[in-house]
Amino acid sequence: MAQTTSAARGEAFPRTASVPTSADAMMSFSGWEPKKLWRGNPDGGVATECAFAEGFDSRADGRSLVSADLDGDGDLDLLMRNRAAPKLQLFENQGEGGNAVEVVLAPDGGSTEGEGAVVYEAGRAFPVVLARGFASGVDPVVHVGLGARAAASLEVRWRSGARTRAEVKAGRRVRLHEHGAVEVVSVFQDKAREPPRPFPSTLEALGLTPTRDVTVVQLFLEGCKPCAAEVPALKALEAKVQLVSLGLHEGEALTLAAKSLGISWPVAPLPHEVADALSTSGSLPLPLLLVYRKGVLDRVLPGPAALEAVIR
Amino acid sequence: MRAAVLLLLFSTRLALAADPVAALNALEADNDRVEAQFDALCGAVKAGHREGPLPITDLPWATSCSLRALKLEPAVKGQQRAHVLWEVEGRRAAGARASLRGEADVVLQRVGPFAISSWADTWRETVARATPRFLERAEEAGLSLPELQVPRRTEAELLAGGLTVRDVTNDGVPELFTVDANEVVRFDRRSASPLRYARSTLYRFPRAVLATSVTGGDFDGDGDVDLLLTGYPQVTPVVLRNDGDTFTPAPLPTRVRGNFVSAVPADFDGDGDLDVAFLPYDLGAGFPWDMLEARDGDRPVFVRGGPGVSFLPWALPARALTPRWTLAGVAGDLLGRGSPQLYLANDFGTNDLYVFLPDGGVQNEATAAGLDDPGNGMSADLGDFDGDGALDLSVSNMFSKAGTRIIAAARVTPALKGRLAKFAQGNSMYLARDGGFSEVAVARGVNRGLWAFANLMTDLDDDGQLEVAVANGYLSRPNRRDL
Repeated sequence: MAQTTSAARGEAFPRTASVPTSADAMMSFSGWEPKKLWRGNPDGGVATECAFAEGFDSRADGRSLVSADLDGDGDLDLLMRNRAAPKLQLFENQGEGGNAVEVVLAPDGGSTEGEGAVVYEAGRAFPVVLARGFASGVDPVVHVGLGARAAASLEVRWRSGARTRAEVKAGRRVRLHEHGAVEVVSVFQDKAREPPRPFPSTLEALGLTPTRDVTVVQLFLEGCKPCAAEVPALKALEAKVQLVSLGLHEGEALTLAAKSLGISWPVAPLPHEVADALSTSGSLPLPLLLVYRKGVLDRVLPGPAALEAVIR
Repeated sequence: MRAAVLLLLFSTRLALAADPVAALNALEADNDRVEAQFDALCGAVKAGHREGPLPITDLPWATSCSLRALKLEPAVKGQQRAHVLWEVEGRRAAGARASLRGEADVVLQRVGPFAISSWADTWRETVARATPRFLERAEEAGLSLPELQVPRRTEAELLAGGLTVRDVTNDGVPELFTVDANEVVRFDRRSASPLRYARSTLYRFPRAVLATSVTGGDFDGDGDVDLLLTGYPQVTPVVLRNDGDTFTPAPLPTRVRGNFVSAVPADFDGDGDLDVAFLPYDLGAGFPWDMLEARDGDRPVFVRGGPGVSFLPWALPARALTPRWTLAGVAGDLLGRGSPQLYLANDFGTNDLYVFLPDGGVQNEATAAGLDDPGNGMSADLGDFDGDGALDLSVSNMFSKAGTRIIAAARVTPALKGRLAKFAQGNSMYLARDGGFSEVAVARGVNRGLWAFANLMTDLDDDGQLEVAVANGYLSRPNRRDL
């Protein structure tokens, strides 16, 4: 399947939509690969791969990848540079997590950034480096996750061979000087976690009321050829099911877009937060049909091919 | 990790054996037919059908589906045994994101309509989250790059893409830097909540140059971060001296020139100045002669930090440095000696671990340390994965389903088979143990990173246990069918 990205902008719509186009003759080569994120098993067992579940779910051709606290809230975000569009992807960490401290080193001599030193905390080692991974540069900041603990007991093995210790409260970034001083650089700013996007598990979540046992909700965008192509198949079911089309438009643009696709049943704007909930990596895949039974989501289909079998 | 690695590898190596290539070709041709059936099955799953062998009945929305043979035996009397790896991603009715995956021994019916007549799980797991940890928001944060109208270097661009997150303004907020065609692009944070960035062009190489990396370091020891840029082909790296409000370019000595794709700064010689290792890979040169142990690439180039942002070429004996195809490296004290070593992830063969000697020399101790890691190395990272107080090493390579399948059927010597299997295994994880290292990626389940460029050990949930994150994928085209 091919994809292009169409922006439904100019109408304050916050996201992009991915619409398939005609297939290219050139095949992919280890393309469209799902990113990987393994959560380590503290008991030394097999790690759990959770990239998709955790929202690190890009299919772009990834190259470099850096983790850093970009928004100052004390947890690590992920920034990925891809080969092609989208060339940058920012995965903002919105999840619950433990406490943490961040440590910057100030050596008494030698290289000013403390690279080459190692920070120890609760038996764990954290290297101070300036480059890591694939062609990636990083600040020489050590990020120490603490779980539920409220403070870190740090020991630094400096490049000079000297060792110093410091107790640091969770929730702050500190500068540790080789001569022993501890300086608080910043306190993490708690960011209000955004509420979860409302997944349209029910028709009610879309502001709709079921009028039949089966309701088919079509999502559409002006110019989306596959959306137009599914209109005849939907129309053929009009006598059996309730049909509603939700567009990535508002106001008059919505009416015009529906008309251009030949939609002759009720239409409404797709709520932005619902579009976000259905999006993958910031993009809403189209076409998309949501099938409800008695108002409860039963199936999500990328087109009408299996629709008759599903509603049977 | 270049094009057609395994196919070429087999065509060069196995051609020496009796006629195993014909048998493998026949099996792979048959696998193409099987994959077409698997793809049809997955297509039906994504279209909304829930009958069939994949256990996904509680998944109203299947957003992706993959089913591939890791082992395929020849068909006998219309039946064919296979070992398959499958994965389906999607959303549950309440919206939870779920990945369902596993492996199974199956029997395929190859006479009459294709069918999977027997399915025996060897393992299966479901990973689901009601709310994802990450929200992707680059575009709304202003982190985008426009298409640049410059000469294309398609082959080279496949392997380039440096990124740096460094606080060059000393205000506690990191700026972001990346390369794009001949440009080095900078992003300054304008707002933390919501995250918003402003883009600017920091530096332009000549139009024919592909910028490959940007790295930071306080090279002049004045307390702020300078930047180091590399480019391709045959480019002398550039240092951008941080002068507060502006960056001033300062080219390195012209003798320091090469096809550098990345650079690793560290005080390798312990004199207090940052030195740099420039890592070469001729992005347009095709393939090495020996794809299992390439020694026909280029040697890393070292420079020693001097006064200001000056660097002096570090003349190391050629015999001490192996000419490789090196994409990335990491500097750290893996061996616990109090000073950093340089670990290099090399394509087409073993990796290198350079130890810097008190007399200014260097020696490669990768094999002695048990860290030579045969494979298509693309990057490396350091961290204490098992939390025992010693630094471990994660290396990204290539996990290949096709390679795993072909190697399972290949009739070659056990030694060669073992080496080939290592090439197809994927990422490596070396845990420091008992004065040496143990490779545990398969045992810990962190090897299947696919075509893994970056790998990163990082604690994303702050529970004190490191995760491993991988950026992967070689070349996606609109036609998703894979070579």
